[in-house]
Amino acid sequence: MSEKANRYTKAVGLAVSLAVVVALGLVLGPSGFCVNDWTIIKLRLGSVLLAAVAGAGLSVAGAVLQGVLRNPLADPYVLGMSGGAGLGYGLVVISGAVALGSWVLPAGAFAGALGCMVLVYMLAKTGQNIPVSTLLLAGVIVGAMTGALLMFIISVGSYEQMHDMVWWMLGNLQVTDWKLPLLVGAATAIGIVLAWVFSRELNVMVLGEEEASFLGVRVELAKKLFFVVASLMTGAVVSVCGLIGFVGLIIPHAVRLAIGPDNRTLIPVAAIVGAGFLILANTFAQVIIAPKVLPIGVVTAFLGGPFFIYLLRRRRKGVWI
Amino acid sequence: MRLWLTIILMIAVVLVVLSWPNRLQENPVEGLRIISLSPAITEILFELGLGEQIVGVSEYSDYPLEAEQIPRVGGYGEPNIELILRSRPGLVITQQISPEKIRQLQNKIGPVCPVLVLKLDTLTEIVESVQEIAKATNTSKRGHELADRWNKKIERLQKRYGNLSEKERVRVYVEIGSNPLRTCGQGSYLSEIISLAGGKNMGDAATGSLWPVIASETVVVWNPEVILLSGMKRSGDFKQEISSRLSWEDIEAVKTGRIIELGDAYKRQGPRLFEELEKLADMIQSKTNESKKSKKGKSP
Repeated sequence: MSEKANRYTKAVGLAVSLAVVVALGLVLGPSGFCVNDWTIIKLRLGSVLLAAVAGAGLSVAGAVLQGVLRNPLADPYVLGMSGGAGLGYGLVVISGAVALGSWVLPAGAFAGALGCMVLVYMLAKTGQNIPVSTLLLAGVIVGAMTGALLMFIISVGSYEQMHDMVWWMLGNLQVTDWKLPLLVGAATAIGIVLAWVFSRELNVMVLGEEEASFLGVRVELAKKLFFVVASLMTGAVVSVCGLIGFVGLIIPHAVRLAIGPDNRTLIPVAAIVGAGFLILANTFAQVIIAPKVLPIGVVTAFLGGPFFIYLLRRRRKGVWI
Repeated sequence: MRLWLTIILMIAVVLVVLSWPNRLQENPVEGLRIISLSPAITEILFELGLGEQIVGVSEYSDYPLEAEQIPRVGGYGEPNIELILRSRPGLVITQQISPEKIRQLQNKIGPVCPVLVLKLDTLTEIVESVQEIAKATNTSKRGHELADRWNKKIERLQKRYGNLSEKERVRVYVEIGSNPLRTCGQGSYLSEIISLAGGKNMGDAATGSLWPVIASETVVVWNPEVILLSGMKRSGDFKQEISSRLSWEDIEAVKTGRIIELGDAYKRQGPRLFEELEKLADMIQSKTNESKKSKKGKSP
């Protein structure tokens, strides 16, 4: 009974903190404190929504990949998504296709991420299976190659284009309309729900593939499902927000430290904490040197870097899973 | 495998041989052989009537059209020392790029010919630079003419708008990039010409950086009366795109439709800016007839 009450308290605490962070994100912005101007609040609502979607999506994708790959260093970009999306984005910028409309950039980035996903999958596939180690290696290699191509594009681009691409790589939660955030929100929500529904399988797979298959999990199918879910979520977020680092790495670890490694609670809690963290980071990025804006990736890395070092130190004492 | 390697190698050799004569071709220029290491300097040289003397330019030197025919000797800020030396320069002119690059230029090229380092950040500096180049190239007469003409343009605008108070000035927001939103800050040449034309560059509020990235909300609060678009190429329906941005419908410039795309001349701290000053003032000051003025704003 007390165990249950404890869980209940924790859940309420989580909900309240999220509400506080959302409220903070709505009343605080680059133009200062504001509660009565709907035009401004509407704009902040868009940013808060996008930050929540991105934070939740990246955190869950990170948690899923850390579980499936059984690797504490895994994050949403470990399977090469960042390089692929970046390459798609870079090609759109350099080819001048940007002029076709504001939807071309996210479309290009998403196509790049998707192409990268297919490539990694095909490279990793041996027969009917995709061994984890091969998947990881294929991801790293494809990521490195596409990353190099992106650097090449940046080096031949003009100063203008270079500036835009660097900002994209540092993440960007600017909202100009409702369509894109809602689209990405829907995709991410589907991904989170799928990950949650199959969190039991994820739990078993963390034990090892052999053990999981003994326990009745269709390992290869589950692996493919998690791979596709995590990739699509990451691709959707990346295409609109650019590369926001560290969220997908540190939030799952932090939540695991706090409430344990059970994916059935880890996944929803990571989604909420990730959303809250990114909303907070975004508010901070917009307010701290207003009217100028800090790149969101700088803020998350600044908070994430020290935390990651702490995690590495702590690993000596305990186990990450 | 070996066969393929041999074939590739042979093709490579053929390609190199074929391109060789091209590389050795000398540019037959009489008199002073000038190298320009920035697109703006290239424009100034053409203004001074020295277009024929230029034997090498940096990348993106695309104005006037003749400049496109001149061999490239590296990117802006990334001069290629070897290519510069190969074109046997008599004078190398560069803008203030990174100090390390300037040092390299002076060490490697200094012994061969003079290296002129110029600052082109403000209108005054552009005028001064033109005279400096004129002095180094024996075209002082033409240099003085240009300086006089440009100074007169500046004075005329100063007389007209110099005494405007902050409140009387037209609130102008310049958008250099849209994703993320980037504007021009205090000290940038765009800020300078806007205030010369009787406007108030809202981006000046973001002190400490020339091209600050700002939040969408900030622009809404600034509530500019005119939105000027520069930088990257815009899609055809840029007015529509900007008007439909979240919460931008209440911005004055959006309500009155005073959203104007600036021509190529505004992308560069060069001599063309002086010719645009009057047009810019018209664009900023006119309260009516936006569509006509917006056409006027584009460079020919």
